[in-house]
Amino acid sequence: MKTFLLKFTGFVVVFLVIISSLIFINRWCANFKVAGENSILVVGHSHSACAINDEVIPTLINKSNPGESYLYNYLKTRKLLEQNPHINTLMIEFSNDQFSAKMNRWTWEDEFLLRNFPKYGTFSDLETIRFLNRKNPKSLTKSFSYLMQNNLKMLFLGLDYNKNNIGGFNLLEGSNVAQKIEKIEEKRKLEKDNSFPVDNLRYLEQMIDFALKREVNVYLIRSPLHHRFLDYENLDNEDSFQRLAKELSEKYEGLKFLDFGSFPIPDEGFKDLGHLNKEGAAEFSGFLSSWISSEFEKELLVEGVIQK
Amino acid sequence: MLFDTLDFAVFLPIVFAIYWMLNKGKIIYQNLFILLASYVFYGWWDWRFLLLILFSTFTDYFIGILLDKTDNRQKRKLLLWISIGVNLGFLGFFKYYNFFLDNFVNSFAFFGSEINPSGLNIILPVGISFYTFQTMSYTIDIYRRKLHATKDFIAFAAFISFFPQLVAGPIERATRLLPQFFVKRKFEYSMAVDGVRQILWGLFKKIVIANNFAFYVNEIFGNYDQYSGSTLLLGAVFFAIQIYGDFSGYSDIAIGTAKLFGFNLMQNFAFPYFSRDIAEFWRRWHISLSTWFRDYLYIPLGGSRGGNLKKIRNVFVIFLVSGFWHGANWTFIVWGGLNAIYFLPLLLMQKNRNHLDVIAHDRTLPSFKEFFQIILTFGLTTIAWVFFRSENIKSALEYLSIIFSKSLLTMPYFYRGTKLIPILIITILFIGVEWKGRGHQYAIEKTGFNRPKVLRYSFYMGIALLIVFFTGQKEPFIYFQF
Repeated sequence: MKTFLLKFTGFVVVFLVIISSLIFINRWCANFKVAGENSILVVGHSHSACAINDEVIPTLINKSNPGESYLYNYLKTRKLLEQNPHINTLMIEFSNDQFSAKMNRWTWEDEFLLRNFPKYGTFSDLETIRFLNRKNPKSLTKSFSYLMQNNLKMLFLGLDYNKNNIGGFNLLEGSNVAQKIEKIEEKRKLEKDNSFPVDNLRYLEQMIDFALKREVNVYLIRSPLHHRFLDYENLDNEDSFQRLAKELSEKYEGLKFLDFGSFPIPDEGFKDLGHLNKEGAAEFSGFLSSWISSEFEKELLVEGVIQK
Repeated sequence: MLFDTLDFAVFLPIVFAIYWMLNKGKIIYQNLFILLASYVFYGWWDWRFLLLILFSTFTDYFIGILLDKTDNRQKRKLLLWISIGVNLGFLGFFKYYNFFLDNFVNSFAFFGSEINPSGLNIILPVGISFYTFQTMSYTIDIYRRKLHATKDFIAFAAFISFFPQLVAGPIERATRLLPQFFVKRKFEYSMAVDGVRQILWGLFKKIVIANNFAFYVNEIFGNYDQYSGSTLLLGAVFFAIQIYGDFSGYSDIAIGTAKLFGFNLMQNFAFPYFSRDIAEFWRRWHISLSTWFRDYLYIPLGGSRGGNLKKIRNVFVIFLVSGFWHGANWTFIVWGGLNAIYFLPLLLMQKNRNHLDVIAHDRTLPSFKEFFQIILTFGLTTIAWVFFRSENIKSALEYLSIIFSKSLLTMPYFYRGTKLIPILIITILFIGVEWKGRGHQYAIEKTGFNRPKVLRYSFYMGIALLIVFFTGQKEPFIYFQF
């Protein structure tokens, strides 16, 4: 029995050492470097991913990714800022739906945890892992094998995490605004969950704090939304959203909120009520490019709302 | 709990440690602990399932004793039928009630008469098809005087509920497994190592092979009308591999786990896809079930004795019942019927016992003729698997009609950007390892024994790492639904 237990334990130890080595190699040698001319980094979810085409904005790189809550944005942003000291501006998508109950699902529900944790989990701290373990231990355990698969894949890709689907401009074509508007009445009948995603806010603040400590300018930006977006999402949180933006601006010195939510884009420029299509993104990105190249000319903004 | 979960990974070492610590005490403590652990294992799904298995256990325990006590032929027959009635009654109710009800309603509707009986929302207790057959074998063998009833309730209950094989087999015979509960198990190093090795191989088959193919199988079978015949053929082949990896993998984990506790369970799969004909396939696939049906249904019906009509009847009965055992759906019955059609010509021409040895046992590779036989047998079973996998007969027939259409000659759809290529490479290597180990209980039983230890352990480490790196989507064991 002793021999059996010793040999079995030895086998398991060697196995764990190999697994751990792969994790550590990824953790310490992962490459998040971006081109030197990119001094502005954008992170967020699908709104900013579809709205901001970094190919037309010379100094900006968009690492927004659909379906990512602030927890995953934070893990990614940390590495990007650490490895790219030339980045001096961080723009974080800040939209109404990021303060709705759905962000809890995006953070720890099966589908989202299994998709996002394998990509970023290697760079997690213990507190984040404990947090996710409290919320969804089964999926967290399962995501571990996907994390190992991802780590092995990254080893073959030279540890270049820019190839790990961590974000980028998402080009959408066409428009189905009219169909979405038709569905609004139906959606309004659904039960509302008004719970506030405190954990999502917590990771947003961690991101802001981390960036500010590195003397990076931080902007919260709300990408253009269709005027019926809140109706479609069954959200009534505009007032509390604006209050939160104000509170954060007061709490963090230097933090600015750029509300492009009402940026004038015609219906044809929207893919759906929350996302710009190719044409809408071109228009918005074009404006953003001029604004950035005019060195963030304040006159172009009126009370935080864009003046075209 | 499932074998490939963290729950089981925690459960097993704890049970293993306590079990062998009890080794110093009386055998009753070992058996009692196995019984408790088995009930915890089974009750993990739903504690209500325990009531059913307890009732079944008590019924057959007392019937066994009564059977042993009486010599009156009629009384013995009655007791046996009570046992069969109770067990099949539970099975019939939990598994087939809604099936019969739906067919009853449909047949009325066919004649233009609508009836609306209330269906029942019945939860199918996990493993009921397996343990009811196991417990029935006990009473039947006592009736046949192959076995004496045991008065040791703890040993008997532990035999019925033995957790490694409780929910998906192998279906053990009382004559084989029950005596092992009357002997104190001693820890044997070689048996324990063999057990761990078999568990590792079982996990590999289940997690790497079966779960990864499941993704493509689900996609193809779920959207078969959108794909070409060549893609559907691939889907059918993938399912054949999936079900083998899933079920034989589970059996390997069950047998390996039992070895850790000093028990020998029967081999349930003997490399069935290397069979040279259908008869050989059915001697190698789900051996515990096919031998159960042979011994308790086929032979009492007369087996292969008597005229051709009787033989045909018996073969159809066996395969149709076997199909029906698998599930409450006409597709399983058709699957059984198709296998009966495959089998019958061999039986009638008395060629059903042609290939009793291990294929190419004295050669590295099969001969051209053997290779052709393997492909033909595999092809026939794959066609039958389409019915097994399909939702209904209509979609199975549509699936097959697309396969055997012009689109069979087109390139199959290839899933870009997925793990398919590495999985296919691993599968080819897997087939190679299975071929090399085809003469043993499981493929890697003796792999590398003639090589330095470090190479052998590196091989095991490679399998363990492949399990981690190629974990497929989580899929329940296919046979859990039975």
